[in-house]
Amino acid sequence: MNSFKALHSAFSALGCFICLGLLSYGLGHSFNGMSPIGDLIAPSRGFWRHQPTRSSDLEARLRNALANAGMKPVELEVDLDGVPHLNASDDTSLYFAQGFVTAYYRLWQMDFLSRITAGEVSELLGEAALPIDRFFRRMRLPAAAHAVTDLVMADPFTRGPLTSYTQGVNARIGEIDISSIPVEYRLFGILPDVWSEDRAAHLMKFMTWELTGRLDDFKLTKTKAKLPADIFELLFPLNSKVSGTILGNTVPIDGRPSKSQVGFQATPAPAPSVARHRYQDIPSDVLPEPANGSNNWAVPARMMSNRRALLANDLHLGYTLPALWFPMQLTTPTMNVYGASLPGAPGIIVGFTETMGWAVTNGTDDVLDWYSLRFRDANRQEYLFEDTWRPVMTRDELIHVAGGKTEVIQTRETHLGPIVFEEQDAAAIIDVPSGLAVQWMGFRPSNILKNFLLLNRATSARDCVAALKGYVAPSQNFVCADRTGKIVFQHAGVFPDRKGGDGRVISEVANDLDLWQGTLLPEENPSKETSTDLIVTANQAPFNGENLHKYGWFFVAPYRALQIRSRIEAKKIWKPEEMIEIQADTISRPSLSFKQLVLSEKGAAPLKEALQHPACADGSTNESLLSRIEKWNGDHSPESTLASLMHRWLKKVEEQVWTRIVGPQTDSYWPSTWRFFELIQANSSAMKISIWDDLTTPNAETLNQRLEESLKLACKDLRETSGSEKLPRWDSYQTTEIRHSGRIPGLGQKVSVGGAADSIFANKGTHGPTWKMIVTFEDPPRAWAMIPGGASGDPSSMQYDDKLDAWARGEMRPVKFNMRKAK
Amino acid sequence: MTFPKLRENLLRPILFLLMLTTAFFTPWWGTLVVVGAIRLFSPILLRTVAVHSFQAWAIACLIRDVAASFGPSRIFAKLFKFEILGLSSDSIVARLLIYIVMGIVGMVLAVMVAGLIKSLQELRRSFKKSVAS
Repeated sequence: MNSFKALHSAFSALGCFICLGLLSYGLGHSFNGMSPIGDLIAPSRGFWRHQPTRSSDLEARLRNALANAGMKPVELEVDLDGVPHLNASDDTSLYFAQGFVTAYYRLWQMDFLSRITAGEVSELLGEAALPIDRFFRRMRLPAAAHAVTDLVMADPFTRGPLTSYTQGVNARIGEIDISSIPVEYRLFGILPDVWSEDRAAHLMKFMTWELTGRLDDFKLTKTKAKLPADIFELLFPLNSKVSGTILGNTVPIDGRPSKSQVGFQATPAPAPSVARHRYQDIPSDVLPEPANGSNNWAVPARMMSNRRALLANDLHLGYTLPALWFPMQLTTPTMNVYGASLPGAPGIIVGFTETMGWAVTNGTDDVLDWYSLRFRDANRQEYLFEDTWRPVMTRDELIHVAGGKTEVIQTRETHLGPIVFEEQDAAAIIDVPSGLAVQWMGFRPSNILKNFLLLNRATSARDCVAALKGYVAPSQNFVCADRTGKIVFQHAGVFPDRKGGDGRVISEVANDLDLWQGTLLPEENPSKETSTDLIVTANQAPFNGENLHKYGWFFVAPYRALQIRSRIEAKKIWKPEEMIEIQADTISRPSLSFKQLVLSEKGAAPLKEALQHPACADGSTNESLLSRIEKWNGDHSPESTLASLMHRWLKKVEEQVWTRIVGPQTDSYWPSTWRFFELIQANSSAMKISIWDDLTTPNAETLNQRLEESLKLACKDLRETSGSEKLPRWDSYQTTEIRHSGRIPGLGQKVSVGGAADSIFANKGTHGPTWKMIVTFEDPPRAWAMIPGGASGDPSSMQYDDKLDAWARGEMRPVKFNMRKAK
Repeated sequence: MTFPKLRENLLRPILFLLMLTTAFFTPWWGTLVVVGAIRLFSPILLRTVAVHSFQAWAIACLIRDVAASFGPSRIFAKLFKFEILGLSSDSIVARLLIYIVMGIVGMVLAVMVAGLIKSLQELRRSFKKSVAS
């Protein structure tokens, strides 16, 4: 009996010991560089000690921080939407307070975003982020950002604000304790570093990369190699005539050769390339979304019920929580500005003052080119240029990885630019050739902070032009309006002068003329001043004409611009708040073009039968598909099932056509949907391609047959994807998830929201309107704004995502704008 | 009331307060140390350990949460993805669930260490008896 009890006790002890050991290991061990779970859940020190951000707490802390730094007091008012309004008696204390307040709410976000182009994300997220760091280190962006900092600090106008802002951020970092450290740092078990002036420059480079870092050249190069030259030009024309450009048919450059600007170092030509195009991959996180764009428009006073000009803007960028932009009002005796600030950088990036406002959209110009290099041998330490082997400049860089590890990488640079992709790069997403040097306007240092701080002080629309002097990148369509009714459009940026090429493909250059020879003169950039005309920009081509290719070739199709224009021009007089509904418009024009194409064939077989095909029955209605299509207005609201079908159907049609003519999309660049419809309209034997008929088959396929086949495929696809007999709703077909900036699961949120890439509410699931603003220049100005998320970056705060549902419904909040007190 | 019963009634609140203080001020392994020490010197029932440690952790979390305007439970509700269950991160049900989960963590820790010590003590007794016989 005793031995049985002893055995029982021994097994119990062993069981308890093993369980306790496993539990202790699980709670005390650090997985993937994260804090041990036990430390996170313990009531004594984990998340339970965290205090959410609160305006009352901030007020007291700011007061102390200002006093400790010997600054003058700053009035802080946090409104019901969580937007801070800072009122200071001088610039120094204002920017100090802005830095402090931003760090109070958004420290993790600004730290994380500024680390991307600095190549320091692995320090936070561990080895998984190494491909991102390698990419930006090889792009030499840390050096480019540092050059910007030098310029900013050399200018007395910007040195003060940046220094004060940095001091403010560091004052907040210095007082962080266990209860106030941002949740993300707690999760990753690290402490924030001291903030430096370089960080703001990194944020600017991050935005420049997001807006101009297009890598279309790779696929287009491969596509060009597959197609006869005339067909290539037919599919991807330069200077194609499109309606809906910003300036219509105006040609700002009269065709004379552009002069090179003094001081710009011309990039010499490499020898014709025989580089081995080993196809490597780019980490998807470093690829900017091609749909990054925006809408802005200015309505002249004559069209407004209050007889004041109106300015509207929505910035289409990647969704994140915390929200990308931080709304704020900054007031001093000499300045009063409200708008979206970029956490980590002083001032307001998009917004309005007491008498004027400015709005931006991405210029979508081509300011990045790749050059093939011919290396001497497999070591790739020398490259050929003008019959001479030149050395590749190498530099070893250390990347710190969370958990104490480090990685040394070698960055390599030529006089043509840095070499970004190396053969040892891992994991495939898309094919890119290695051994290319990159030239990018984003490398060119400029004091971009000065441009924005000058805009913060502007009093009229014309001040925009002066404020944008010296603006380099990212190229943007600035639209400014003011209380007098003046409206100014400026296509701002510096653009390469490619005398011999157009920048569409990787340069196989023969001489200098094929390369950047300098820049186009900024004063020749498209611009317009008006008091009577409606100005609409939505990333479309700035003008129509032979010189358009000097700026770029992948301008966005003018679907959104045309929709905005047609909606506004449909009515003579507008109330300012009615623009909220236009910004929330979810009608997609490509779908309407496709609807017309389908209806043009509805009476003929086999499409006629296919429209009644049971596989395409919705299940929720007895109405025939044809009848529903006829009634449809192109709306992509969350509950629309027809939007899902029409979208997939059009994609299937395009897939059928371009896979046959150009090749699979994974390996080829396809013409835009806009060009697709242009070619359909112009379809003729003279075009040298057959859009519908596959010439390799004995049958002559027709448009009707193609539509019928693709409809069946689309319906089958949708049913398989949804796993249901019913067609999926649009919000299930295109799911929208606002992810956490550090991709921490749970801290993001899924939302039900409508809109498509080509609707005014340009929601693409992961990208879309990140800052919405409408302002009318009454006295005082009246405005509405909205962000997808909330003012606070703290996930434990109610204001972390409190605006998300309202944003998804297309609503906007009236802005509280404090006028300066009269002396 | 018998003396052992009285002693138990007096000890229970003391035990609870001790465990609450432990949960409130020590790292997660503090519970292991304190419960282990108590079990070494007192024949406390596993059931009592379980109930008190559950209460101690759950109440410690509740107090911390109230003091922080329910911010901490909001973080856990998001990280645990309670939205999948249709629970908002500000709902009372979500908060209660989180306190219960935390209580269970404290309880499991305490019971494991108490059980281990109890088993070792029994093993020792059995060993002594077998040596004596």
